[in-house]
Amino acid sequence: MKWNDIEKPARYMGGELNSIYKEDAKLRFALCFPDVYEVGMSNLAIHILYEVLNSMEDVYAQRAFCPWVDMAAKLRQEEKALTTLECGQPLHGFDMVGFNLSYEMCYSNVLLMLDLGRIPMLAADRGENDPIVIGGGACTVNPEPIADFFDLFVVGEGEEVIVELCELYLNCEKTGESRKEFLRLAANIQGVYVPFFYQESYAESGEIASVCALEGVPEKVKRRFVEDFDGARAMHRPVLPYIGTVHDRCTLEIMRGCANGCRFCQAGYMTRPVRERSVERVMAQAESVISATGYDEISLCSLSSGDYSHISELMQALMDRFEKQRVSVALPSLRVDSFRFAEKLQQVRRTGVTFAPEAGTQRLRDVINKNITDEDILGTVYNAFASGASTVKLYFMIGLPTETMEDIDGIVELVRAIREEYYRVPKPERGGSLSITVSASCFVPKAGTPFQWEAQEGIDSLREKQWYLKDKLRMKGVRFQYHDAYLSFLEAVFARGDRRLSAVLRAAYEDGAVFDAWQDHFSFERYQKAFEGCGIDPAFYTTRKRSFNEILPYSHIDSLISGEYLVRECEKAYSAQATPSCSQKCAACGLQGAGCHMHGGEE
Amino acid sequence: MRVVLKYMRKGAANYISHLDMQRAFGRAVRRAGIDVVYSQGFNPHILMSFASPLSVGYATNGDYLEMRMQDGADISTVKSDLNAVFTSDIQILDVFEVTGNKKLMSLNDSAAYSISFTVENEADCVKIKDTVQKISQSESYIANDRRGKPVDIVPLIRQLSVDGSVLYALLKNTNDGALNPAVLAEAVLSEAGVAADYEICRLECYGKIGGGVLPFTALKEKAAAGC
Repeated sequence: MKWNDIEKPARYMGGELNSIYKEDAKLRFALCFPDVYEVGMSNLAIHILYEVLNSMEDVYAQRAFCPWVDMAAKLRQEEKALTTLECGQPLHGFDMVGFNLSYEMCYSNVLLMLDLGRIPMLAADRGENDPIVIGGGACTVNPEPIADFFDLFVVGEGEEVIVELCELYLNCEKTGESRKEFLRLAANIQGVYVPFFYQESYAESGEIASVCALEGVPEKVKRRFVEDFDGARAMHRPVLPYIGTVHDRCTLEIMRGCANGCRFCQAGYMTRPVRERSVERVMAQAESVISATGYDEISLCSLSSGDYSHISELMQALMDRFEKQRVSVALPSLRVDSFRFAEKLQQVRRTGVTFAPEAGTQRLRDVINKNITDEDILGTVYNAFASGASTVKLYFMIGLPTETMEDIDGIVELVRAIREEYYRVPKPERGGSLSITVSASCFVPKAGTPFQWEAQEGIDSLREKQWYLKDKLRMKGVRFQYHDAYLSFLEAVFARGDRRLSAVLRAAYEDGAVFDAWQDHFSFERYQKAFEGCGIDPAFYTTRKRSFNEILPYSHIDSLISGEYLVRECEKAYSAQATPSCSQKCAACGLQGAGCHMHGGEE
Repeated sequence: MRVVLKYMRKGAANYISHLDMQRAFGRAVRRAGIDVVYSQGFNPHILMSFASPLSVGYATNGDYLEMRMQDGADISTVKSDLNAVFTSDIQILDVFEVTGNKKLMSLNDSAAYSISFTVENEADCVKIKDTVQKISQSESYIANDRRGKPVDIVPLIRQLSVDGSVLYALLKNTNDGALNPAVLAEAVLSEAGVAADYEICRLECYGKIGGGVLPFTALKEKAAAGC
């Protein structure tokens, strides 16, 4: 193959340090990430599963990423199949092909990879010799829109289930079980969802009338989580990319789950219960990763690292241990108090602070249960400015439930107040020129959250709010960024959609949809055409408010978070009532006494 | 102390950009625990510089970089220590101490390359050989550089020879003029009317050393002789 006309050929070369090569194995597993190499190699799950799978003697896991458009065209032109990096084996030759589904807008890339990998796109068209196609990751809270393309999904954390699946597969191969029998047995592993065994029917209104589990499989699929997270296998010898990736550093996972309960946050609920990894284990992991890669930067990974109970101890230990090797330790961000905390450590450059207030007024922050106050923010920025920082980044959402123009004005007010804090610091003491970046995304109601019944705000009114903010935020030193409302609309369709969307996705893909998360490649018209062609009104999934008793498309998947709790939280949102963090008071989300160790797991 | 490393790369490593190559070496140095000198400041980095950047896609059998090590550090195991932590696609060929303060980069004179054409038949080899001879004997030859701009390549060529389907070229490689071997390869193919892929390998880098033009390894003898 000639590489002159391919952007970044290193994406397709493999051969990186710590890649694993095996002669052969009984079970070949292709670990796929449906985005380009630089994005996929930044995903922690791929690295963890790569090590977990390859530690099994009879299993050989290899990596594959989505080829960029130039490479995809070349593969088509030269009639070559998409292959893995390690052995250059076409995807269709694998026993299992697993996709990481981290965000909805990667779905068209999954189809591209199946297509180029020469695997029949629909699960129903696959035969005994085709790979078992598996999906895992954040999107499996509601995998329905892509159910037609997958043989099975792993709902929840994958590092244990994947081993059980491989063992089952090897056993089935020994005893000569059929593909269907394997899938039936797999469906009885907790966390495994085989869409084929669950049939849905629709009412005239378009809503789901029922979801029926076929004989021999559990009625509800229970989400899986790793109980002994501290002892669970972590990444130790990650593959070291030759080319720069999005997160090109040593990432240490310190905690799963989040106690804060922000009502819009799917990850926060879907990774509960909160579990921490001990300082000793994290240190041992750091030791191993740094010596295996030579990374010069360490960052901590969790949903809210400021809440990790031994955060100061861990940061100090990491800095002490790696100072001599000039390995820097990046501070966990997001929490208001983290800047003060950073000052205490006195080893950071004070250039800027980042906040995610998410909403502009206290009222709306109470609605979404984001426990940050204006005083917190202003106090912290003043201290930051006084110690020489001059850059502030702010993250907001627009289109939140109950939002009014007052809340939008609140964003402007907050930015104004932050500017005032800057000028309040005497000139000789404050840093260079003030720069405030305000970023506003469009709220997308997600499955498994208290807002899963909410209507998404319409595209036109979201755009109006964007223009309004753009105008009001024309201030010196302020930069305003916002998300494409059309993309957020589509994300909302797939976030809470049902199986009928598989046809839409396929039609859009066949019309050229790919890399939808990349602004330059996304075309809303393509999807619009696909919706029309399939006779589906996308507004049914977005701007329609659901009633609490509607059967949601994913109601047969038990996220372990109780429905009553979600309803309670939603109702509290309407009356702008905050719920304290689980660390202060148990809110009975469903995991009390079922794996949650806060308050000893009791209410 | 200043230490020079001679290295090769092949396979997957050919597709690493210059920036990524610097990073790959920095990480290898950390993995191997080499006693290097770091820069001061908030983002300390290893004091290291390459003699001449290598284009994406090219292999090398003779590229050089220099780095600062702690004075008096033992360099006898640097080669084996680094090779143990690199994949086989990047390997260190030689390590030696140098004296003086002139950066390798400022000594560059020329570089030798092999350009291996994947030709269809013997006739293509003959066409390439004839074309190379023609260019060698010309007073000037205008080719398109990588941005498509016309450039006279003859003054930038030191020496050309053909062996079968491989073109060996010694090309100028200084700050005020350098010829990328791909420009030469494309010119030869288009002049010869041959359509072929080619692979490029840098064979050696030459510097202005002690009044002559020598491979950078000559600095080793110079240092040993105490100049």
